[in-house]
Formats: sequence, C-alpha cells, structure tokens
Amino acid sequence: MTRHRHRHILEVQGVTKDYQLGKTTIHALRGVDLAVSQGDFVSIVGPSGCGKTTLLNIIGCIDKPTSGTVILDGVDVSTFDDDREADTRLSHIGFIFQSFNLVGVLDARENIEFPLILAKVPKAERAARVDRLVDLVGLSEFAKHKPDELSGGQRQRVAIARALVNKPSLVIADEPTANLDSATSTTVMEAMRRLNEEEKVTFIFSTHNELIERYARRVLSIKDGVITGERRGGGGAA
Amino acid sequence: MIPALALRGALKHWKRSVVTAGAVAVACAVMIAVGSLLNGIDNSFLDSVIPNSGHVRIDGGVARAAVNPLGLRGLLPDADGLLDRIREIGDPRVAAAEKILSFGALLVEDRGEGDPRNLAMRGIGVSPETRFADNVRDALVGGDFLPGGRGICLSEEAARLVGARLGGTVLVLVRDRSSQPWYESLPVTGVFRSESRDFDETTFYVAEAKAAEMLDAAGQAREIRLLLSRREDAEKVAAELEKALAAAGSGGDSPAPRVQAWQAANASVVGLLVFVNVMLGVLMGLFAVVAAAIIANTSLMSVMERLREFGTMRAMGLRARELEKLILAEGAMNGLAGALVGMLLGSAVVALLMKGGLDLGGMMESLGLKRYNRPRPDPAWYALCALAGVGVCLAATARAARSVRSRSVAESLAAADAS
Repeated sequence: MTRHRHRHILEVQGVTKDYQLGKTTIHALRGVDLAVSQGDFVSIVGPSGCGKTTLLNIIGCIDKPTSGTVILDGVDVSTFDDDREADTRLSHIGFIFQSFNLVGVLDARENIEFPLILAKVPKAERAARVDRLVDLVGLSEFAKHKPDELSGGQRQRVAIARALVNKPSLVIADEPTANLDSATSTTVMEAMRRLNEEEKVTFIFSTHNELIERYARRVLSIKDGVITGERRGGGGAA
Repeated sequence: MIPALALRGALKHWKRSVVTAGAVAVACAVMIAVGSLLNGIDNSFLDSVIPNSGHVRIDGGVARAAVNPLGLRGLLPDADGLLDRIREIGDPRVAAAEKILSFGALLVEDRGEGDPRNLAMRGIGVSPETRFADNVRDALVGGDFLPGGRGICLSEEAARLVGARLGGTVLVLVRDRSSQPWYESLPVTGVFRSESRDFDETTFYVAEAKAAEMLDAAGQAREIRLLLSRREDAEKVAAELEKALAAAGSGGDSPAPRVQAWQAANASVVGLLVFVNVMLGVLMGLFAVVAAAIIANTSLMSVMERLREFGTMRAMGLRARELEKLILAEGAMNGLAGALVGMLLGSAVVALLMKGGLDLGGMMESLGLKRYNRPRPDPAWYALCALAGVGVCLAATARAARSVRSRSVAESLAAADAS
C-alpha cells in the first residue's frame, strides 16, 4: 500500500476504462483527472452514456480502471483485490443509487443498520447510530417499514442514512433523484446538502438534471469519457 | 447475520423455496420408501427364508437336477453318518445341524367312503424340535408343531382342500424306496397360515422318523441343513466342510455329498435380488438427478433475479465469500426443510406399506420369497437420504453461488431487478 500526501480526500489520476463489446472496444473513460477535498459537494454532469456511472463506480471501488490510479484517503485503491475493495467500500464509502437498491428482506431500520453489522459494530452503538440517522432523515415513523411499503423519497432517504451510517469519508450518489418527482428530488437534495454542511460529509453525485446541479459547489462536466470543464455550482453561494 | 438473512431470503422468495424444498422432499421420500422396501425384501430373504432353509446345505448333488426333485433316488444314503462326522468336526460356527427328509405325497380326505378329495403336496420330515421351521411355528393358528413327533402339521388352506380339521385325521399316501405305495392315517396336530399361498398349498410337515418309516428310508435324508451363528461364514464353512467330508470319504460307491452355502443354493434368488437392488438403485439415482436438476435450476433462477440485491450488499461491503455463504445457507435451509418433510412423507409411506405389505406377485413366491413384502425402516438409511437431500441441494446452490460470485459488483448492480 502506498501512502500519498493527504491533501485531497480523493485523487483520480489518468483513469481510463475500456470495455470489450465483441470485437469493438468501448472507451468509457479516456483519462480522467480529478481531485476532491474533504467536505466538497461535487456534481458530475453530462449526457447519458458519457461515463458518469463508470467514473463513480471506479471511485467507489465497485469497478477497476483499465489504467490510472484512484487515491482515496491517501491510499491507492485501484490495485486492491476483491476483499480489500469490499473493506474499503465498507469503511470509507457510502453509496446512494438511482433506484435506491434497498435490501428487500430488511426493513428501513435494518437496511440502515446493515453496513454496521458488516463492520461488526457493537449492538448498542449500532442502535444509537441508527436512531440518530433515522431522526436525521425524518423516518422515525417508518423505521419498521419494508422498502416496498415506502415511497420513492422515503426509500432514498433510507439509502442516504445507510450511506452515512459507517461515517464514510466519501458518499457517492449516482443520479440520486432520477427516479423521483421534482418535489421529492428537492427534499432529497436538501437532505444531502444539510448533511454535507452539518456532518462535513463529502458528496460526489452525478446528474443530468440542471435543477439538481445548483445544489453543488463544484460542477464537473464530462463528455465522451473526458472531463471537459469545471464551474462553481449554485451551492457555492449557499 | 448470514443465517438470519438467509432465512428471510428463503421466506420472502417462498415460492422458489417451496419448489426447491419440494423437490428434495419428494426425492427423499421416494428414496426412503424404496430403500426401506428393498431392505424389507433383503431382510425377508436373509433373516427369514435363509435361516429356515439353512445357511449351508449338504445333499446328494443329484436331487435338484433330477426330473422329479422329490424322487427318492437322490437321498443321502448315510445321512446319520454324515451328521456324526459334522458333530465330530465340532466347528464352533455351526449352531445346529439336522436331517431333512422331503418327499412327494398325496393327501387324501380320510372319511372312508365316496369320492374323497385329495391334494398332491410336498411333505417335509423334520425333527419335532427342528430349528428350520420357525416360519411355520410362527404361523400356527391351531394346535402345536408335531407334538411328541406325532401327527401332521399342514396349512389351513390345505386342510380345507382335503376336508381335514385340527384334531381330525388325513390320509398320507406315498411311494416308498421300492416304489410300493404306503398310506397312513395321521392326526392333524397343527394348522398354520403363512403369508404365502403357494407355500400353504404345497407343503406339510411330519416328524422325520415318521417320514423315514413311511418311505422305508431309515438313516437317510434329502439333505442336511446347517444353521450358523453368522450367515457371513457360510461360504467358508461350506468349503471347509466339503473338504473335510471328502477327506473322510463318503463311504461305499455313492458319490461325495455336495456342500453348498446359501448363496450357491439360492443363486437364482440372490441374482434376482441383486438385479432388483440395482434396478431400484438406478431408479433412485434417476430421481436424485431429476431433483438435483430442478433444484439447480430453481436456485439459479432465484439468485439471478436477486443479482442487484446481492450487488447492493457487496457494494455495502459484504465480501464475495460471505455472499457465497449467504446463498449456500439459504440452500441449506431449503434442503433441510425438504429433507425433514421428505423424512415425514417417506415414514408415512413406509408405515402404510408396513400395515398391509406390498403385493409383489406370485413370482416372488415361486422363488421362495414372500408375496407380501413389508418395508424395513432403517434409521441410518433415513439419515443418509436426508443428508443426500441436503447435500444435493447444497451442491446445486453452490453452482448458483459461484455464478453470482463470478460477477463483478458493477455487473450485479446493473442487472435488472426482478425481486
């Protein structure tokens, strides 16, 4: 394991990702460089198929880059094996997915508690952390509900609480509002923004919705697998 | 955490769990029922038929090949001498040795007038204290088995056919060694009813001394039967005995007696039993294969439609090996549930068959086996079937688990969610 100077929480250096589709090679990422600081609220925007999800998957140790390095909390994670990737996801990264991805056999509270069980956190501490997050995302009344008994917005709030429960360095949200109506999208984004400000959690989220972009402090544009520009988002003024 | 999650997964996807557990249960029940029945047939042959017909038999060697197997030309001429030699050898493995004098006879209604009813039968002359007629003693419905060496013991059916009854008499008509007819009125001292109609209609018992007197065959016998402490010793004892008797000389010009272990003496039945065992074993194997295919298919479907859920768990930090354990635990639970239901189902079928027995037809009787066969439950077999059920389920689920494990987290997360 190589320790790097800890200036940024995340550094992506020259990352490429190629997929083989029959005899055709798809270049999903063509050399991405990116640095994210502690407490950032970064949005990655671009059209469908531009490489947003691929980049987030690589940052989140869900996928491996074809070349380049990903340094998370000063450690190069791009060469980790499956188990170390799983451990890194467990201890450093929280995920929020477009289609919520809650575990259907667990209720809202258990879904939030799941990463804590994997991390072997003692029961009393688990209960305390889950209680706090359930309150924080405003789901106290629905804690015992199964995912299919919750609305889209409620499910995404469960997913946010689950993403935060292990106190990750970084929360990755892949189009977190794509399956929500505009009012619920606003609620979810407000919740993420509040957690970013109050808990100092670093968020990177992708979207192709301009209304959602305004919550970000930094907006990175990506096109054809390359970051084409960066601008300050509306969140920077908040 | 893994067992709890597996249980919830199995309950949530209960339809697939029912199909999986059902396949295990049916296969398990069939294997238990068929295995117990096979065990029953083998047991009936080994523990009932064989002890009554002797673990080792010594005969003249020509009786079985003769046109009339009950003719008197094939008798052992010096059966008493042979018995003495066997006793002199004093093999501790031999628990009992007896002369048996079987013969053909006509039973005739004993009323001295009109047109009496008659029945051609096989008479068996044995010692009244014989160790080779437990099947008849156990089947007595009236009287005793040749009390004091007196009378005749015949089946209820034979008695009905010749108009005899317990306490009454019946005429026994035979040809003696000089082909002269001999008849004697014998009191019916015992009546039995076995499970074999064929046996009941063809066999009666008299004291060996009475048979020898009627046949003019004193000191002779159709065969000498040996009962061993352990039937597994039969072939060894037979070989040693044959050698010892040949070395001692059979006396006179008569050929050396033939000594056969029960396996050789009942070669056709043993062969048939092996065939039946193999056939039913193949049938059980086919059942297991079909069940395994159903379980494998259902397990694969079950995990494939939950790929995204499993991908999410891995994204949260669940290791691939733990995910594999989770899927295997769910398979084990389905297998265990199926095995338990299968054991109950199999036990119920076995209990039902034990009540009335399974009619395997007259062919079994003609081979000296019982027509109605009862399964013999064996706890070890039950446990083996249950273990096999769980094992097949685990093996089938392991294939599904490996398939899930081989996919990357990104691939699993991208899968369509059917759950």
